[in-house]
This record gives sequence, structure tokens and C-alpha cells, in this order.
Amino acid sequence: MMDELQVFVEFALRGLLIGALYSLMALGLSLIFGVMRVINVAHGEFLMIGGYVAYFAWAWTQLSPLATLLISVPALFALGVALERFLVERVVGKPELASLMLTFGISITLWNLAHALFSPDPRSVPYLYEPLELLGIYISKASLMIFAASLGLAALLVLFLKGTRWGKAIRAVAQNPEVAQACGIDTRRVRMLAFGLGAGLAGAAGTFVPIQFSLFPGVGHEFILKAFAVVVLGGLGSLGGAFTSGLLLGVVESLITFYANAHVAYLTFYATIVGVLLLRPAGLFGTGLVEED
Amino acid sequence: MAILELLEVSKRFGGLQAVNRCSFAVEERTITGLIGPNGAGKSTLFNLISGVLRPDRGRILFQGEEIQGLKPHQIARRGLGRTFQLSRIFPKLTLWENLMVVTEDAPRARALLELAGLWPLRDHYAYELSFGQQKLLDLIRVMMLEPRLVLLDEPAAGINPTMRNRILEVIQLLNAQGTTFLIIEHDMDVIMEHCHWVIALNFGEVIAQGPPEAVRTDEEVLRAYFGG
Amino acid sequence: MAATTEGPRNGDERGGGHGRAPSTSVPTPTVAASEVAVPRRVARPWARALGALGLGLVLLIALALPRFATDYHLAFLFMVLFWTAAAQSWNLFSGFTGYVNFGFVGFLGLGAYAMAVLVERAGFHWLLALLGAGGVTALFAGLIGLAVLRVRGAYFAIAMLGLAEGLRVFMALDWVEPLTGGGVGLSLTTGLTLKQQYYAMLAVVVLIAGVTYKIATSRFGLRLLTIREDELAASVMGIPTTAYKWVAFVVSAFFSGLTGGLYAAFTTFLAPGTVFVTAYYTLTPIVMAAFGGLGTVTGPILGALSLATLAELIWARFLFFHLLIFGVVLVFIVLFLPQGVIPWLQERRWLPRVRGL
Repeated sequence: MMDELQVFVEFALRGLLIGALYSLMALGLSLIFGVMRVINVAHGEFLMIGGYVAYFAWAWTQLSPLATLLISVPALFALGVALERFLVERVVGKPELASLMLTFGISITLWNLAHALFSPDPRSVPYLYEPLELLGIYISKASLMIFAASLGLAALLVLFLKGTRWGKAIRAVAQNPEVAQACGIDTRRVRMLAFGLGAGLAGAAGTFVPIQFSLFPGVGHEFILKAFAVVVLGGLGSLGGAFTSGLLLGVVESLITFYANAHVAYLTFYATIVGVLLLRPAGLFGTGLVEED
Repeated sequence: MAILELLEVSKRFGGLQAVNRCSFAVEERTITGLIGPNGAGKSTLFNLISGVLRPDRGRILFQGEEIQGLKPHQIARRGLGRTFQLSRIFPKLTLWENLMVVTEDAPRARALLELAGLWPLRDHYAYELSFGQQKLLDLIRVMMLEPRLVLLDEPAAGINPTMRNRILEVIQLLNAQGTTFLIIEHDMDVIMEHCHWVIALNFGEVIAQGPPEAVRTDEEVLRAYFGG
Repeated sequence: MAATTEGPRNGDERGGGHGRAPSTSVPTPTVAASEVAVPRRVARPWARALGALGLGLVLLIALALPRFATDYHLAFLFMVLFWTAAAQSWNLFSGFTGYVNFGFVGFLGLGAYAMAVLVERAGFHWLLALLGAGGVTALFAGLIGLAVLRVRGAYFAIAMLGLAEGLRVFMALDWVEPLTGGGVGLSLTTGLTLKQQYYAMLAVVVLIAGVTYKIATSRFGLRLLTIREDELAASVMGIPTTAYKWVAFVVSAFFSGLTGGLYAAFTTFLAPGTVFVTAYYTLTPIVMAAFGGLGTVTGPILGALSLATLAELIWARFLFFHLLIFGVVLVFIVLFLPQGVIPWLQERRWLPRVRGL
């Protein structure tokens, strides 16, 4: 009986730790959607590229894998800003069809580019292998570090959004672009910033991929689907919702993987998407998308 | 006789009470004005009446029947039409198609296009029209529903005087032929000249109603507009 | 809002100078319906004859081609027709309504699996199995459509992406293994020769083209376009948008099922990992339809013919390079040719602005 409880807690905890990674990715998706009304289908590829940047930074400089965040996040931020400036900006305010197809095109391009450049071989970064024991529960140290780093990044994002001028501008544009513009906010630059931040967050999540899982050019595909499930559950555009439901789905996935199998756990994500749409189209947490006038 | 009746209608968005226990009636065959400062809840009210939003509580009666909770298309089919503040014509359809999607009543469509002076342009895509022409198209398109009541959200705002007069003329004419209009309008002169009855809204509540002259001089309305 | 033509801009003045009270009484028109000269956006007789002639010629060539083709070329031609049918099916829903079906591979895959299961496990005749494949896919779309079509475009796209992925995982599950062969896959033999497969696919392409033409020239199709243009405006104009979307969704799924079913007969082997490849089977039809023109009849055909030929030239060398090119092409289409070739020509009046094109 005690053992069963212990196993349950152990797997729930593992899921929670992995969930932080989903949260990080979903935060970026939600931020971009909130500011630009664009679903970034290429978000999984941002994660993948973040992973490769971090991997090569680690392989060439032998930095601590966590320290490579200092390289991968700015690199992805720059990539995001550039993509926004030259491509995505042109479809802002256009029908969803345009932005969905554009980011889909970007996604396929980046994926196959990575495939050509980095080869399809999976890569991983060995880091803090040995598990930590606590009251008979085993948890990998790497997961704990990743979890802590993710929480830290999320906290930084919140501080930035609440405390700085640019952060406030982002929130203003997310609430009402016309009013924000009328108040003298340069909405074009805010969109660049938001897209860059979103990409940076995906890059951070990607940094953890070769540590926790394995990294290959198609890795973004699996993650984008999970992240989509997370943002649907949390309500598109809601940051709090994205973060909470990322953790929640991490736990659920881990438990189902243990009690059933990985296939069924994977299906849970899609069941979540359809279920939420059926019952509460606006998502569980967010006010979601109210039809605007 | 009232064609539209609102009974204690309320709508809340998060922390904002957008419409608060709103009750009023629109008399048949009138042009009724709906006025109020920005954020008074006028557009929300239109969304509630046309079924785009659902009221939290209260009842909405159209021709004596409850319509709250019906879908927008069901309400439209009952003969209650509406336009939006920014024209929502179908840009990549021709003018003719813009009318035909509502109902395939060719004589009616032709009569309306001629009434609006848009008949020569019937074969153009709607996005090729000027801003004012788009507003006109928006107005005659809603008339394809053969509506008994039409809600117009600032039908004459932001366009040149010639075009504005033309739109107001068309509204007058359609009204004379039996259509009831409920109009959101900011221009007091338009209200004074064209409306039979005026309802003033502030903070989602009806603060005054009556003939235009009376509402214009109403103390509460003046306070709502000019503060103090 | 581009000012492409000069004419209508003058309309303000024209409208203003029209005189005061127009004499036409609107609610009771005095003109009889038959007298009204209405622009119907249907081509003039000579243009239609020309179009029919061209169509007949293309069809004749398509019918005659197998006589001159080697097996290798016939397989290529089959794939061109497969992509054409796929692009047409995708366009039938997404091109008209603007709801991006990112789970298209799910429809194709379901049709393929239904075909294989009906032929191999139930012993159906291939034609019956093919109809079954269309039916199963349409049924599936009908059911999920009740849920996913109620939400707005962005959520819809995500849901469809998830559903296709879900189907892939589902087909590999242990407890459907007796039916689908699980992760290992299953093979099927329909007894059809390559030539027969080619003609069957050609028949499907012609069928979809016919139905798309019917839809495009009807009020139903016009109303589907209003959903793409502005769904909220459509609904306050009395159009039951969800019901319309549902019908188009199911019709599109039926044809996707047929297309996938014939694809199964062609490949003779199905496994979740090779069938449900989103990046490939969803991307390609979207690029083709978008290139030719969304919501048109000939656009997807034009897009598929040209891009499939282009792809064949590259594809022979390297799969990922081919996908890379398609990704870039998609980006370019969205940025520089968002309406696609056919509507682009229509906007410039180089092609007549008829809806059946």
C-alpha cells in the first residue's frame, strides 16, 4: 500500500518536473498569440533549433549544460525577431489562414534545413545522471535543475511583463492593439519583441531537450502537439493558464504512461484538445477568445 | 406597439458590468437613437440583441417572442438585422453576390442597388468600393433579409458629408416604407434630425429616454457626456 | 485594401448626384423577376464552350496517356492524380471556408486503412471497399465535426492537427492490432493493375472536379465563401454557418477517403509511421491548392499538376530537400501570391471573374 502511494507520488512528481518544459513552450505560444493573434506552428522548430544551439555550445565550449541557456535564449530571441520582422509581420491582422500557412511553411523549412545540416542522428547531453533519493522517492537531479530553471524563467517573464515599460506595452497591445497604438505604443516593435520572447522561451525549453530526452530534427513535431494541447487547455493567450496546464498535463502524462503505456499517454493530449473544445471552447483557465465587435 | 423589448438585460465581462439591468422598448416604424459616451455598452447591447453574445440574465422580446439564447442566424431569419461599426461586407465577393448570399431575390437586390446608386458597380468586388460605398452596401445588404427591425452601429460615421447624407436619406426612405431602425449615433445633429425617440445609456444602464429634444437637455445625459 | 481599379472610386460622386428620393419602392419591387438583368458570374456561352473544349482535350489526353507510358511513368502519373485529388479534397472544405484542415493526413490515412481493412479482413470487392473507405472517413468527419466545427479557426487547426496525430497513435495500439496490424502495419492486394488504378484515380479526380464546380457555382458555395470572408457577418446575415461548414467538411472527408483508399491500393502496404506523415501528406495538398487558388475549381488541379511535376524532378534525388523546397514555396505563396494563380489572374481581369473557374 505504502509502495503504491510512493510510486504514484514518484511518477506524479516526475510528470510535474517534465511539465515545466511544456509550460515554458506553451508560455511562448500563448504570448505570441495574445499579442499577434498568430498561432505559431513553427514553435516546435524553435524548440528544436534552441536545442541544437545549446548542444553545440555545450559540445564546443564544455560549458555547463544549464549555462548554455545564456547562448540559446538570446540566439532564439534574435531568430524570432528576424522572422517576425521579415515574414510574420506581413500576415498580422490578416485571416488566420495566412498566418497558419506561413508558420507551417516556416516550420517545414526549418525542420528540413536542420535535417540537412545536423543529420537525423539523435544527440543528447549527459548531465547530472545520478538520481536524488528523498523518502524513498527517486528523482533525477537534472529534472530538478530543469524544473527550477523553468520556474525561474517564467518568473523573469512575469517580472518583465509587470515591471518594465516594454512589458507593460506588451500587455497593453495584447489587450487592445488599437487603444495601445493610440496611446503612442509602437505596436510593430512590441510584436517583434513578443515574437522574440516567445521564440526565446521555446529556445530555453529546447535547451533542456538534449539533457532530458534526445534531440533530432523532427523533435519539434511531438512537442508542438503537446504544447497545443496545453494552450487549448489553458486558453489561448492566457499565460497563467498555459503555465498551470503545462504542469497538469505533465503529471497526467507521466501517470498514464506508468499505469497504461506511452501510446495511451500520448493519446491523452489529443483527447484533451477535443474534450476541452467540446466542453469549454475557451479553455479551462482563460477567458479565451470572446468574439470581438 | 413595441417591436423590440428588453427586460432587465445584464451582461458582465470579467470584472466589468457592461450592461446592467437594461430595460427599454423600441416602437414599431420608428427610428430610435441609442446614445451614450464611449464604453456605455451600446455595442454590447447590439451584440446581445443580435445573438452574437448571450445575456447573463434578462429577457429580449422581438415581436413578442423571446429571442435571447437564439443563434445569430436564427435571429436574423426572424427579421432582425444588424450592421457593425466597421462594415463587414464580404470583400472578395461582388456587390451582387454580397446581396445574393442573403437571399436569392433578384428584383429586390436590383431595387436596393439602384436605391443606393450602386447598380452600375454590381459586378465589382466589394473591396474595390470606397469606404462610404461599403457602408451603403452594408446597409442594403441587411435589407435583403426583409427585416422588420434593423440595428445600425454608427451608419454614417467617418465618411464624407455627401455620402453621409445619402445614407441617411436611404434610411429615412426605408423607414417610410415600414422598417424600424435602432441606431447608435454620436452626431447629435443626426439624432435631432432623424430620430423619433432617443435612449441614452451610461455605464450599461438606461439613464434617460424620450423625444430627442427632451433627452438632449436632460441633466443626467449632459452629465454623462460632459462630466461634473 | 488595394485600389486596383479606377472606376468604382468615382461612385461617391455618382451616388451623390443621383437625385433625392429614388422612386423604387424596395419591399414591393415593381420589376418582374424575369426582366431583371442579373449578373450571375457565370461564363458567357462562347467562354463556356471554350472551357468545355479545353476540358475535353485534357481529359482525352489523360485517358490516352497510359497507352504510351511505361510502368515507371504510369506510377508517376498516378501520383500526380493522387495529389490532384488530395488538393481538391482539401480545397473543397478549407479553400472555401478558410478553416485550415491541418489534420488532412488523418482523412487520407483513415481512408487508406479502411480500404485495406475492408479488402483484407472483410474480403470486400475493391470498389465496395473504396466506397466504404469514403463512407468511413465521412462518418468520422461527421462525428468529430460536431465538436471541432463549433470553435474558431485557430482552435480548429490545432484540433485537426491533434486528431491526425491521435489517429496515427491509435492505429498502432495493441487492441486494434487484429484489424490494423498495429505498429507493424498491414499489406493488401486488390488485384487491380496499375493501369486500372490510374483510371480509378482519374475518375475520382473528375468526380471531385464536378462536385466542386457544382458547389462553386451554387448559392451553397457562395455562402461557404462568406464564412471564409467574415463568419460573424455571415451569421448575422442569417446563414447557419456551422451547418454549412459541417456539410462541406463531410463531403471533403468523403473524397479524401476515396483518395486515401486508392492510395492504399497503389502502395499495397500501410503502417502508421509511413501513412500518417503530417509534414508530407498535409503540407503538399495545402501548398498545391494555395498555389492554384483557394476556393476555386481549377486552382487545386493546376497547382497539383505543376507542383507534382516539379516535385518529381526534385524528389527523385532527396526527400527532405523536396520538403524543404515545399516549405519555402508555401512561405512565398502566403507572402507574394496569397490568393493563388487563378484568382490573381481574375483580379487583373486576365481571366473572367466567373465562379466556376
